[in-house]
Amino acid sequence: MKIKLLFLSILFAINCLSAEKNPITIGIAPHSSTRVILESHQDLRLFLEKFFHRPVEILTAKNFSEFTKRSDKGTFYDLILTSPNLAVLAQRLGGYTPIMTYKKGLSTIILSKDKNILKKDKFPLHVVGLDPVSFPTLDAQEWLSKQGFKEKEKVEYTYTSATDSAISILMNNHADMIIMSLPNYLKLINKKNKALVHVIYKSEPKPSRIYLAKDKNKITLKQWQKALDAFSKSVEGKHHLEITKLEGFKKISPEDLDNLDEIVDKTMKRLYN
Amino acid sequence: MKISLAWKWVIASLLIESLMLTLMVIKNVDQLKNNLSTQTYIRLDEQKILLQSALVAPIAQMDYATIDAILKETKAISTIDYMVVVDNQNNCISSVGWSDCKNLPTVEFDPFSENSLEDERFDTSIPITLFSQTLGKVYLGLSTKFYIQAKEEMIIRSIIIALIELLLSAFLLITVSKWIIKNLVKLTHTANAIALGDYSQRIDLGDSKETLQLQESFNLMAINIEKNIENLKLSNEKEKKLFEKLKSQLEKNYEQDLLLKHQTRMAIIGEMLNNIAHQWRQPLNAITIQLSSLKLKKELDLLEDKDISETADSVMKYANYLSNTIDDFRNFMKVNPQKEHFSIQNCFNKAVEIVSASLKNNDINLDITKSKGELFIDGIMNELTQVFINILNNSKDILNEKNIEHKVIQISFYKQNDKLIVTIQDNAGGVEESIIDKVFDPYFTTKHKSQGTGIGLYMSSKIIHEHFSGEIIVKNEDIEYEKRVYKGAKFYIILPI
Repeated sequence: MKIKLLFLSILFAINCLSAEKNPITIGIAPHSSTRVILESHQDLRLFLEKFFHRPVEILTAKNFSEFTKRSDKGTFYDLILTSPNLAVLAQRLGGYTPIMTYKKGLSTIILSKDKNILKKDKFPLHVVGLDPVSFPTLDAQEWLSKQGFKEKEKVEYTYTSATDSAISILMNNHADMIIMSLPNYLKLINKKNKALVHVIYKSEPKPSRIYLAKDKNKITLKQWQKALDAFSKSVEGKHHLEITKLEGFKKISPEDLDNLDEIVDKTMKRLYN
Repeated sequence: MKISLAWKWVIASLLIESLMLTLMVIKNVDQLKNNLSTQTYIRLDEQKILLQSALVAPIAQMDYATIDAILKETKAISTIDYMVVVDNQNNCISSVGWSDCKNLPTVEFDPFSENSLEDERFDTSIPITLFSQTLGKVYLGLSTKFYIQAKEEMIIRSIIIALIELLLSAFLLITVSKWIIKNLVKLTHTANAIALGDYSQRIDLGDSKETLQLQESFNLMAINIEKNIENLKLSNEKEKKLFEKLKSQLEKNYEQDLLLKHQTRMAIIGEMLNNIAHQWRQPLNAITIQLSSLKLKKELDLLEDKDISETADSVMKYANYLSNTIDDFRNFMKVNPQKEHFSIQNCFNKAVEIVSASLKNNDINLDITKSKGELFIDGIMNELTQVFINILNNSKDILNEKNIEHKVIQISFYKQNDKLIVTIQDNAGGVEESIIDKVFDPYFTTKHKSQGTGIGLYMSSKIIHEHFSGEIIVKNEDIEYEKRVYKGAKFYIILPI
């Protein structure tokens, strides 16, 4: 009995000593400014630190293009949280597997301070998007195109790294319209500003941001699935939903992203041409 | 070599001032270190906030080009020696001014520690955190040259100021000390002159408030000294005169004393002669009668040989008696008698022997009450005998003068505590109350010039007071004799044992 106890103690000590100190990296698409991204995902970071007993780092990128290129390489991040079009690329090019998404669908919003901006004759309209490859930007551009607002004719696009920056641009009259996702609209625009802006376009809910992972950095896909499932049921997960206003989590399978080919192609073109 | 008081004062003051200035410089350097240390920490905190703000996003975004740019721009701050940004695994992300990323500097905690001052650099680090997430760390080297330079400047400036201050102080102190000493020298000269007897000297110390006060006080003192010396001289003169007077008075007193002694002796001799006369009268009468009887018997031719023989024997007997009487008086009159331990009653008996004939001739009875035991005392017996004779003679004289029918002198001896008391009282009516206090004064007498000199009681009082340390007093008291009450003077001779 004593020998057994001694053996177990030695095993425990070895286990403790050899505990992995290499941090887990989470890559989050730069849909907001870096500070907002880091702040709104602290619950996830802390939960995963507890779950894996390892340090967790949240990383992002200067823009969606940079983020997508890193995601697609499959070496930078252990866990990715990104928009559906980029998730498909990460799945196909980076070898990641979609695990979980939010219940609330991702609608695209176009905002303007002028309610009748689309009826004006003053062209080109200056529209600020998040990134050429961000899901809301691509979606909004497609809708505007369908409305007859072709790029370089009636509209001119510029891009900013973060939604909160785009809001400031609109409020300072440096743009006629801005594009953003519905969660960002709900989360980042305060009441006072909401009263000053008008929703020009709101799309039907599209798939929301998607969590993707792969066997990497000594964590298996299964472990990631368990971890994210646990997070979705945890206090930290609930708090995260309160902050992001994304209602709830739901599991997702690789097949669920199959109907996004059109937007994915557009993304690919913009990224690699 | 003797250093003057002024120089001592100047040197002591300058030494104290130098010490104070040194302490001040040390304190200032210390204060400078504290201030600069605080400022360094404040600056570091400011840079910490700025660097954190600037580096959080690029680190999270892995935007290394931006990090490089931030470091290069920040390096423009003159006090920053180097900057190294590392991630959480201490992998070097970017560095400026530091080449060896694998060998990062050891973090120091005191900006002005020995190490920091030695390599003129304070090595520190700033963690880059946001929402409790640590993203990396910035190693930072702050130059400490500014502190070393400021310290050197401060020391040089302080030394220059201190030297100027010391020079000014020395100049001021020397001037002041000379001014003070000048007045002290004046004071010394004037004091010396006064000490040598020139009391008219006065001092002039200028018109400043302090010296004026000193001048006034000194001059007042000089005036007082002059006045007091003058008074002293006058007093001396007076004293001299008084002394001369006293001397002459003493000489006079001495002469009077001698005269008094002589008179006393003469009085005693007179008394003695009187007493001898009384003593001799009866035997001389007897001799005369016997010789007359012998002569008559011869004329009548009745003389027989037997008569001659008997008369011769009788005359011889009386002659012997007379000779003994002379011996007794000679003994009494002995010069330079010796002190002895003697019985006070024997002494009184001796006096009685001398005056007994005189008392008997005047029909005066002596009523003596003896003490229970013998009373002894130390002293010259003859002197006390003389006192008793004087008092007895006095009583005899007054009793005769008052012509009292039944004359008596009552004598008693007794001991009271540590004193021997002898009382002698007559029944002559007492001394008049108006003169009772003067009876012991010299030359005071109530007797006729032919009888008294006024020396007897004075000498008696002197003997009792000075030679026996005793007391003699007189009171008028009642006296009972032969069932009759009289009044009479009662002398108390009180002698300490």
